[in-house]
Amino acid sequence: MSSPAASTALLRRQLKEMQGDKDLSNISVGLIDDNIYEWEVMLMISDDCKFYGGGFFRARLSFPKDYPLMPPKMQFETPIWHPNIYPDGNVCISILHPPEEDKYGYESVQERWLPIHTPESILISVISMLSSPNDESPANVNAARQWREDPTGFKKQVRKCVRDSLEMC
Amino acid sequence: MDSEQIDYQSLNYLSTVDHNLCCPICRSPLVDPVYTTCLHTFCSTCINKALERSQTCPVDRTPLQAEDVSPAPIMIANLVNELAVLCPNSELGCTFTCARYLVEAHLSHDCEFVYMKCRECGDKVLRRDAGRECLHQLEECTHCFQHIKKIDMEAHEKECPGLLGECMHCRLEIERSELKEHEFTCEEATISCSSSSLGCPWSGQRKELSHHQAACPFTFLRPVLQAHAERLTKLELENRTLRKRIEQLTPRINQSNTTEPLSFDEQAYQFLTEQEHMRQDMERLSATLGELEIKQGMLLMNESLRTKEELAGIRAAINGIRMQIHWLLTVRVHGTEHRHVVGGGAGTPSNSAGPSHPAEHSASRRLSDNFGQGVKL
Repeated sequence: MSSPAASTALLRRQLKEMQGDKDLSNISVGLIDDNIYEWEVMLMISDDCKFYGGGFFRARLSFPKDYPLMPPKMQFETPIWHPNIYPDGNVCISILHPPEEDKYGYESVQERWLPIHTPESILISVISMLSSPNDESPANVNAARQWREDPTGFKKQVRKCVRDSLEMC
Repeated sequence: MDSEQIDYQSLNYLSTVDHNLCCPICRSPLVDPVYTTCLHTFCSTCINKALERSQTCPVDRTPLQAEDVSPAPIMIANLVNELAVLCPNSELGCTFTCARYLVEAHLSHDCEFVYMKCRECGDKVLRRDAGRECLHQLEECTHCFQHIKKIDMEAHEKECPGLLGECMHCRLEIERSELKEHEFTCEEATISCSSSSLGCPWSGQRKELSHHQAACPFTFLRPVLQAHAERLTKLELENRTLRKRIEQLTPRINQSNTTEPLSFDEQAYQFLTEQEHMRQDMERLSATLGELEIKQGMLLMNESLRTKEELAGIRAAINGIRMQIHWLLTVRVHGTEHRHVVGGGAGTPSNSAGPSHPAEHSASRRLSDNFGQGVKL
């Protein structure tokens, strides 16, 4: 199952499903350089999302060869200000952490990657993470502190990056 | 064909499969289905690989060991095994469809599009061609006389350079290899005027070109225009090099302006302007100084006026107090005199001598009186 051919077939099927799914009108996916392991994702955040509503964020999903046993990595290419997203755009969310190693120490195995997750379920988790940051594992310490101590300033900063995201695309 | 070589996960199913029959890990219809003690069903390879990574159920995270996995009920296996699939060689041309469990037999016995070993030379060949003579012998192409393997002949005929092709302009039939060359000489090919680079908009068939060029004003003016164009490009080139040179030199000039020693006139001029600046500065400074002096004076006056007023007030107060003391003293003096008069004149023979005596006298009494007064107040 973890042979490259199997992950390729699975990813091809999932890409086709996502591209054909009408319920996912706010997510568009495509390949980078025709490489099935590198997906380019465009997240169009709906207006009712707190802080980030209306933003157009581009991200890259990099799948390992042994997907779906191991999780993909997700990196935002549009600059985004969020407590759980590193300044370089890498997303820190528990379901993207591989099940066996516990380098973060604080999370239980309960929250981590499962082979039954799909690109769709990952993106939906990330979108929900945008509006409800996880304070316990800040990837961007400054953003986390601002989110806690200066909500108005945080909102201002996020709106700015939402505006910038519209200009960039 | 070995069964291992069939990639069940990439088979194409004829109809969409109920998602309940799909493995939650590979998301394709279950292959060799197994189920766990927590009653979830997976492909046996999928769950085994997943358990190597994490010993929990991928769906509900129940702790799970390899022993907790057992073959799924036959009914489930039958449901997925009887799903209709396309032959894996459908891309090569096989149109066979069958139940999934029959694919293996189809590939190993019937499929015409399976590669086999050629009986004669051992090279690979499709099963449909395997019964005939060896297709790996060379054969001469009847058009280009190249030696091609029989098996590749079909593909070769599509691109054989010896075959005739039709010119798209004059409909002449010539060999394909010469078709390209013919294009440059074909009388009916559409071309543009040879002076099109100079701006002639004409385009038409090659045979009409000479007729056009006899009347083409661009061709007539060609030498002049060409000379102009050449000159223009030369000038542009020169212009570009000059501009580059200027760009190189400008920063150097700017630099040298600040470092080179100045001529006498320039020095004098600089000094003069500097002096002028200083003079202006001086004027400004003296003006501010004057202002400051005035301000200072005002402040001083204000302050002294206030102190003067205060002084006057204090003086007046002192005067008042003096008047009071004087009045009190006089009252006291009169009082003692009165008492002396009343108390007995024999003790004080000098009482009537004058006002200065009683004053002296009262000084000794005043101390005790002062006490008394203090108590009274």
